[in-house]
Amino acid sequence: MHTTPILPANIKGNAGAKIQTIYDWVKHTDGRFQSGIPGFQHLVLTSANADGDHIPEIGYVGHRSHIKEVMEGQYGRDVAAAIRHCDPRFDQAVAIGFARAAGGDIVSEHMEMDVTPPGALKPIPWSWYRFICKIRIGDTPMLLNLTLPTPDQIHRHLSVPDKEYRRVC
Amino acid sequence: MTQDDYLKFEAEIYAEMFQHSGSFLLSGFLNACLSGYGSKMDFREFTAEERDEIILNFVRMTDVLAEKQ
Repeated sequence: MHTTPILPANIKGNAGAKIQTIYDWVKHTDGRFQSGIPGFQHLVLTSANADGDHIPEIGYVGHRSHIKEVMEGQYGRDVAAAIRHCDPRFDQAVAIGFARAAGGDIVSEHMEMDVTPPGALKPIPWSWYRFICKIRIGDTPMLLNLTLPTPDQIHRHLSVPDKEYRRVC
Repeated sequence: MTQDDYLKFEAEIYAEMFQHSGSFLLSGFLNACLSGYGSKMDFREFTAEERDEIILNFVRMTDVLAEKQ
């Protein structure tokens, strides 16, 4: 897995707009939760107990979040499992970002890896942006995660014919 | 136990769990959660799947928030 830091302002397309919006909200509100949080349906909230080895306990998964789409198989039913298993350090690589955010960093990164679902003839490149920061709900610290596919990822998904995609995935 | 008794019982549990700020936090979270479903306002407008999803999120959030109380 390749992880590259990227400023929200440098993220292109729809993903960049969403991440910049949530970044501005964090800066403006100092991360204090309120019902007007923008794009709440795209977010994931987790516990701030992040040890760097495991993904923290999940509290909320937005019904239009990319995480939910991947886990529910909208990109092919085996892709979610393949993403987790193709790199033995996947969980840890993801968990480190949460630990850094729990420590006060604002994490904004481009992530990329090759995924080979069972039965696939060749690896499928998979890339996404992730934004993680600490917020407060009342007196409780939590981690806000916004994960979105890159424009390349969206293009790859849309350009593969359904029949071929089902065969590969 | 009637439905009213059940809700009162649940409310007392949450009140103990989160003390003074509990109802505000949880209602704020629910408002944010429901706002993501467009213009749906009434319970009957949500599909069974959406209702399950909202309840699951509420229960998970309650668990995470309760960790720190």
